[in-house]
Amino acid sequence: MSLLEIKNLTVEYVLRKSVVHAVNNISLNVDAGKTLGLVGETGAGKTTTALSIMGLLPHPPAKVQSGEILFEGQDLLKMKEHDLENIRGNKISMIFQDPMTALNPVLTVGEQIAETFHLHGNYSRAEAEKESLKMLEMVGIRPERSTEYPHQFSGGMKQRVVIAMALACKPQLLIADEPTTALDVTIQAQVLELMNDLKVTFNTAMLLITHDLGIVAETCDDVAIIYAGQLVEYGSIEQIFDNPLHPYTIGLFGSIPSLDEDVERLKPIPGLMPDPANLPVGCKFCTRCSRAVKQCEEAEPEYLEVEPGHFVRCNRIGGTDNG
Amino acid sequence: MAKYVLKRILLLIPVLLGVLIVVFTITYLTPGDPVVTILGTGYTPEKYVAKAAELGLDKSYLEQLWNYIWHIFTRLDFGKSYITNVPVATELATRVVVTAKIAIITIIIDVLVGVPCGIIASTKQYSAWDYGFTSFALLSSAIPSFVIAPVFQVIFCVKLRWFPLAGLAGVSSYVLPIAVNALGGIALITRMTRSSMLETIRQDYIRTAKAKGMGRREVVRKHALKNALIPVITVTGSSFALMMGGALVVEMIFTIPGLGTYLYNGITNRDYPIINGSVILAATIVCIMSIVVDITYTVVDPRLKTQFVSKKSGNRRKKLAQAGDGHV
Repeated sequence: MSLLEIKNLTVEYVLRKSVVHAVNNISLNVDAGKTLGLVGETGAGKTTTALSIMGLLPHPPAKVQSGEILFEGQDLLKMKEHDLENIRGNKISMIFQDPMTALNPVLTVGEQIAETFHLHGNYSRAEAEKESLKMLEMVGIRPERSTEYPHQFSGGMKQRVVIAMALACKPQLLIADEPTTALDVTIQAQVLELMNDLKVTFNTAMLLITHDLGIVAETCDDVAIIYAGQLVEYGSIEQIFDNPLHPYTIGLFGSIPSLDEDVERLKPIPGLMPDPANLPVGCKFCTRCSRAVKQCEEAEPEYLEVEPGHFVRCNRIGGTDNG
Repeated sequence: MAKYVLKRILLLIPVLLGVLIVVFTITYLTPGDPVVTILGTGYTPEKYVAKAAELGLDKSYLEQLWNYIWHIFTRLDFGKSYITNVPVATELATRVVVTAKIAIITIIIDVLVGVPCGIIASTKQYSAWDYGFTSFALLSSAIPSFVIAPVFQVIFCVKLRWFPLAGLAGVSSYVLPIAVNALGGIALITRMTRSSMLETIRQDYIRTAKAKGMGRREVVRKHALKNALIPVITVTGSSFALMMGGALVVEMIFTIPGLGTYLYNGITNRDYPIINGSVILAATIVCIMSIVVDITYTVVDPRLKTQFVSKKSGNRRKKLAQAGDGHV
């Protein structure tokens, strides 16, 4: 049994005039100690997936229509709020996208880390404080700075604080929502290295949300490519990187500049993601796909296992029509 | 921090001096002769000259201004009322107590009722509570106090006979003026708290706090409230200062001997020392309140504190940098 199993999760944002289909029938597994990369464009439903695991979807308008999120075999979606609070920050924790706004400006960073210890476990004030100093040291911040406020830290330092907070209770699952997007490249490398180290130290499973395939290559064991709220390709890192099958995945790789080849222009994927409030009937990617045929517009492709552990959702691959 | 407070207090002096000069000049230039007001009709020219000399009104503008300022700064002497001949300072001192009693109790009620109402309205947005509180707030801020006060008088004084109709006679006579005063304040603070809380609870750091596994109530209490209170403090401070200037309408309707009625009487009688004294006192209170509000900000929001003591922390940063700290 995997640590985290998402089964057929569907999340919608019910607005007054329309229904936004943010996540459509997604199934994922994250095993203990492994890292799954969730890759997709802005608006593909990555963060919505993460927030539904945390039970932090803004409700209203968000609504989980169907599916299960099993954590250690228990369905998080059916759990009582109180029990969820015991899991959040303790067994599952999350690193948010923007460190600039993720910390409370009126509390010291020490207080904000110590809070997690207070909430989960019987720590006295002094013990919690001591633990929080240890956490700061671990993420490379001098403990003396615990009495300072977030505005006295740089962006990279804030993200370290956020990471320290997330790892305080040594969670079994860490959800990292674009942890490096807001940081510059040198700091990105440091933060990733830090997260990798901590992953090894604590044997933490990680769900890494990103749109950066470079980061995926460095950190992930498995990769799920998400497009318009659907998984389009899912497999181990070797399978996805060595043998990408879905035209969207191939397109993503085509958008990355290569050091080996000398090309004039990159090959971006043309067009835009369809409006999630008005998704096409057939394949969601067919409007941008160079290999689309008539069948793609009419019939939703099946999600097929083309080799053990490697799933693809494309009409042109597997099944009867191969090629 | 102490340095900042001291600086602010010292800055009071030029500000108040400016107020003094402006107020004095305005009443000086206002048409109407105080001597005539005092003597009434049927005075001899000798009497007029003698009275003007007694009041110092025969001197030049600059001399009068200088005397006025000098007396205030050396012995807190604001002159005497032309009509009653009672020193303005004495009168202000007794009346400020009455007004302060009303203002302080009112503002305490405003905050104690308004802030919780605002919090409930915002955390249960679009609930019956929210609609109840917001429509109450809208209603009571839409009805002016000169309407509410007579209505209250009719209900509670005439029909029910719970409280005296007017004047100051014991604790019970404070109830209605405070109630009328507080109603508007509660409405204002409820709306302010609600909108500020609504903005705050949508912030990312509130989500972070929830992600730590913190319960809803605790998130509001520990994370949202402190951030949301900053605009509420501003409103509270300024409405307190306004009330200290004298809640004119309420004081007039309930005939309370506070600063408001004093100023009103001063204006109707062309009693310039009273006008000047009242305005200067009100200005002083407003200035002091703004200092208090600013200091309260720094207690609530550490970002502002570092702004005020930036010099000090700048030095510390430099020292840290010299010590070879790469993180700063």
